[in-house]
Amino acid sequence: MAQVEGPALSPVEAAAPRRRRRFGDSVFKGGSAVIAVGLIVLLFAILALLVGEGSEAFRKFGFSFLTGTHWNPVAGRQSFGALPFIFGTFVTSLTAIVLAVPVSVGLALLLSEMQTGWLRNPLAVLVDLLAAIPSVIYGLWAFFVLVPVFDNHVDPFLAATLGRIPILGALFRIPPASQGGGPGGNLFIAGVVLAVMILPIVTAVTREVVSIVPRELREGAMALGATRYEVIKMSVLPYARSGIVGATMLGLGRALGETIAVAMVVGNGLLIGPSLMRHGYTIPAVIANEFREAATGDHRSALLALAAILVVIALIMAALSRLLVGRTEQVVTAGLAVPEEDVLRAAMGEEE
Amino acid sequence: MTRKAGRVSTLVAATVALGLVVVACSSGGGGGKAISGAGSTFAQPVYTAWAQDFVGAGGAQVNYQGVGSGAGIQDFANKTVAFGATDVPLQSSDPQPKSPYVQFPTMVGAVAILYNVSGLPNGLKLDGATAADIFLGKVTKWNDPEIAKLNPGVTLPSTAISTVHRSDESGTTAVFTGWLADESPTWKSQIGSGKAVQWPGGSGANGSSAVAAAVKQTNGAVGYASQDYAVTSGLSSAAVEAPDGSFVSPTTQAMTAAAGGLQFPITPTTNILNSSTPGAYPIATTTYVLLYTDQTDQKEAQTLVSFFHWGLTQGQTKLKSLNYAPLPANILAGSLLQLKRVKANGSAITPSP
Repeated sequence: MAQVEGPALSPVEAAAPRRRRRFGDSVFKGGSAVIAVGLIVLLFAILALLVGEGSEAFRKFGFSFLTGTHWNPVAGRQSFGALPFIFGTFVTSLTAIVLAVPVSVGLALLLSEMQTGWLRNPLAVLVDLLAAIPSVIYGLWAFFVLVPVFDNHVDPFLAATLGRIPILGALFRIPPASQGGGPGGNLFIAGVVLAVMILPIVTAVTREVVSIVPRELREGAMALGATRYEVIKMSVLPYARSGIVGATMLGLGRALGETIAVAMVVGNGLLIGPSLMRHGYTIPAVIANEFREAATGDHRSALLALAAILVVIALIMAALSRLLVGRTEQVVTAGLAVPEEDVLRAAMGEEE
Repeated sequence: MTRKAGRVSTLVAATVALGLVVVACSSGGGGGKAISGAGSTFAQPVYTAWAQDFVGAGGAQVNYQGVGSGAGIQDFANKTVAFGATDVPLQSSDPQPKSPYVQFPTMVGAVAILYNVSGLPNGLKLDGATAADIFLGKVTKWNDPEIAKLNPGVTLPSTAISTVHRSDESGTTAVFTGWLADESPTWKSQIGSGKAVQWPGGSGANGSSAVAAAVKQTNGAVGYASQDYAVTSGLSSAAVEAPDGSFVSPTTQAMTAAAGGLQFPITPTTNILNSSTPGAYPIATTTYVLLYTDQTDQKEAQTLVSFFHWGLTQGQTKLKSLNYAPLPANILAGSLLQLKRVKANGSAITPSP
């Protein structure tokens, strides 16, 4: 009888009959290998399809596809350019991050650090409920409630107040109608909706990360006479920084891909400029709007090329997030006797 | 072991029974087989209403998916649906069906110019050049001289104009931009016409209902949508200048009158825009269906022909309540003639009911 190879068996495993043990193990090993390889093959298949079909657009329009600002599907004057969509995707996602992350971190700290008493549980449940609402419902709510309120009240107010600040104010000044300003949705509203949608994810992950900060750190700071705020600033936040970065990247990933809610409120305009208060367009929105009827080869290739660009952006963001999480947590955990896996796992493992 | 076998056999029996029930349900009544069609969202409310009434009259089930004219033509060319519905006749750039087919109109619809301006009555007079200038962004306020010239005696507010267009590809856009291109040389050279164009400004909404909703919630907004959305959303529609100089609102009679000049056979450039018939609404459109002439499945062909025969006869009376318009008598005769060319295995089909 051949000996069983491989790692040392536990007493329970060693007690199991030999033949069943080998068969069960190899089935499990084979099955999980197939699934793992299958996932990688699937990812490459998707990329191959997108790149293959999309490369037609690059071949026809050249590198100017990435910098072109027109999107004209009319037969006889077709011209497609990806820049307005790349711009819109980044602007809405960045606005969402800027608006959501401070609120999320504050909310997470409130839920885990503060003496909120009876408020804590209901608040936690409500935040998690936000994650359960489907995107299309967010889109409908934003279209019927947010858009009129923002067009009639919030946007003019911001233009009159923040719009006066010398450089940063350009973000909030409303351009004339010929340059994409006016009611009907704009990049800012889309950013706000995205912020509401990514808030629960970022809050949940930040809460997890903040909760595993060791008690000794907090107690040490308190023993030194720190106030509640100083405890958080000195011992909790630096420790949880890598996790917060991870949570932000998760939120960014969701914001980049959000389709329906954005398509309903972004205004669907093609002009690029410094103001957030203009009709914009994102890659998922244009694909959702136009793919069904894009019969001609060039239009279809252009949309698939946009999809390929979006996948590349998402992959770059994922790689960047791994890098950033690794860098920040190295800085923090140097010298602390805490397993690194806890931080990384809390930040990335649960949600993925 | 016996318990498991018992459970399995029960499961198999239940599945078989369920399958039989499903098959039985799908054949419907009347001796025909259920069919499906796809295409224009413009005509969707009518085809679904007709399908309901058809079943009530004893016909088989007809399923219609409003996926858009382009997708409908593609599905028809791939033979995944029995009929395709399109607002714009089949173009040479569309996927071409590989077997002989007929194309005929089933009803008349109209594209209304909707607006929501407090202080303006219904039926504001607009002509093609002014509409083009509004959507080009050259006319920016409602009290612009171009609009005032057409509407003497109406006090126009100084509200800013915000335009709403379709962000998805649509036959409605094709009809509207086709009319604008006919009326305004500037529009024709700068923008052109098609199911989707590059709009010079304004916001986009996905679908006619979204356009109507967007116009409804913004004061000073103007958009275009099929006439039934204008009525159901309660928005005002403009009275458009016809070739003879009169201003026509999109009423049922005006829409029917517009289709009088339609010529058979349907070609890629067939349209009923700017009809010269007096009292015709200029931005009217007929919507077409595509059927294969050489059907192989007798039961499917029976349902197909019976459904459209029913739609072209009884169904026409229902159109007014749905805010579309019936075809004029001469065009109806032409459509029925085309329908007669659909045969199953070489023999003609008698429609029933």
